[in-house]
Amino acid sequence: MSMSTLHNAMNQVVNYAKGRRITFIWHGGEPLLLDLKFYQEVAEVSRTLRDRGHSIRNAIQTNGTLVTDALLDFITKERDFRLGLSLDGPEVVNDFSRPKADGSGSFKQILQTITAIREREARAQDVSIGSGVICIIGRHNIKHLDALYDFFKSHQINFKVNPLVMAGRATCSLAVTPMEYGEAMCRLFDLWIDDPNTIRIDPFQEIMTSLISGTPSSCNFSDSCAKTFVSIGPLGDIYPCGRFDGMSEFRLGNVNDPDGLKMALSSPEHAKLGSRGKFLSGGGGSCSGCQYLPICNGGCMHIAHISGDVMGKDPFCAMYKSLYGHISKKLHAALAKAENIQ
Amino acid sequence: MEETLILGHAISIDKIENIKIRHAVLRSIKSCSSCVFSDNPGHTDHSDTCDAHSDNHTDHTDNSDYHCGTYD
Repeated sequence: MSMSTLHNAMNQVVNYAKGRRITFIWHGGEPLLLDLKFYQEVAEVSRTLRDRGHSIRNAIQTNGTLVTDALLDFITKERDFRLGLSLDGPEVVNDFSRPKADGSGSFKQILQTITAIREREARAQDVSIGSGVICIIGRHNIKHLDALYDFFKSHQINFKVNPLVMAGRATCSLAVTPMEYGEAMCRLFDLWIDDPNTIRIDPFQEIMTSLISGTPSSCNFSDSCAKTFVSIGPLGDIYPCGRFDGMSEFRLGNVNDPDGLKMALSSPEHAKLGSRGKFLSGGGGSCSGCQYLPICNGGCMHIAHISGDVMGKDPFCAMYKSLYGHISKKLHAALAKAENIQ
Repeated sequence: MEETLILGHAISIDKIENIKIRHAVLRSIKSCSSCVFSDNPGHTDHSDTCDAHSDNHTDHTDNSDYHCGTYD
């Protein structure tokens, strides 16, 4: 992304958001292929926007292999940047699914990054850089959930689980079926929920909160992420979500055009995606009458798209229902117990 | 501690033994009762709520701040 596209992107987002809180998530590919000067410019623009009264935060989602001391110095000083990493479990598992270009594993570097982040946070005490990870569940690790949980627990690493799905030019065969994923998630939940260890695992913590509050808790379940997220690619192209990046049929505009974002987000194409939840929940819609509709809203529209229909429900539907039911039983049991010891 | 109705159960939150479930209950009720963003008319989506929580919870174990999680 060029500096001019960076400026146009941040300024147009801020102008469109009209005072709402904004988090810029710098994603890839691998966002740290861009050198530190890029993020120093991001910080400078953020400062300028903040001085004008806007609420801005930044986050970088990285594979963790290119985090340098200079970057950590910068993040420690700036304070408004957070790091999220990717790690698929113990060394043998992670290095199978996340090899580097030369075939060597990335595990050791990721662990070194986590250690370096924690050392910085311990030294600076009031600085929170973040060392939570996204862990992808696929054929490479679905049979090793106990080892996976023990690994994250022993390293006190909070993690969020996502299923591996086939998308774009992917040709690998590591994707798991919704049923396999659902069974794995219930198993992982059982390992975690009664363990006194307090590492956080999502989506479990999010789902529990959703079941209690009756509101969705992550973008996958938010009716349409088109309402709260927008993705801007390296050339300034606008998409409803990063997962659609590069799909010409979902390109909504370009931030290098005057008012590009405003026009993109008021386009009929964007409005259609924004109405997906209403479409699914309406009379005759696939989700009409579902008890979990308020917290699921038909699931992720990208996963729905790669299954054939972006306006259809997420094909993980049966898996979500199974997991919601499993977690709900546990919640009710714990609440009933609390009720009886008044 | 006063009783709160959670999923049909009238409970004192401090009686919930499981810390992760207690955390979820605290997060849930705070989104309505004491979230600093709750008076924002446009604030009806989960992601803002989640951000608000991350910044304003100091009374329990929430020390994480994940990204949206749809990407990898």
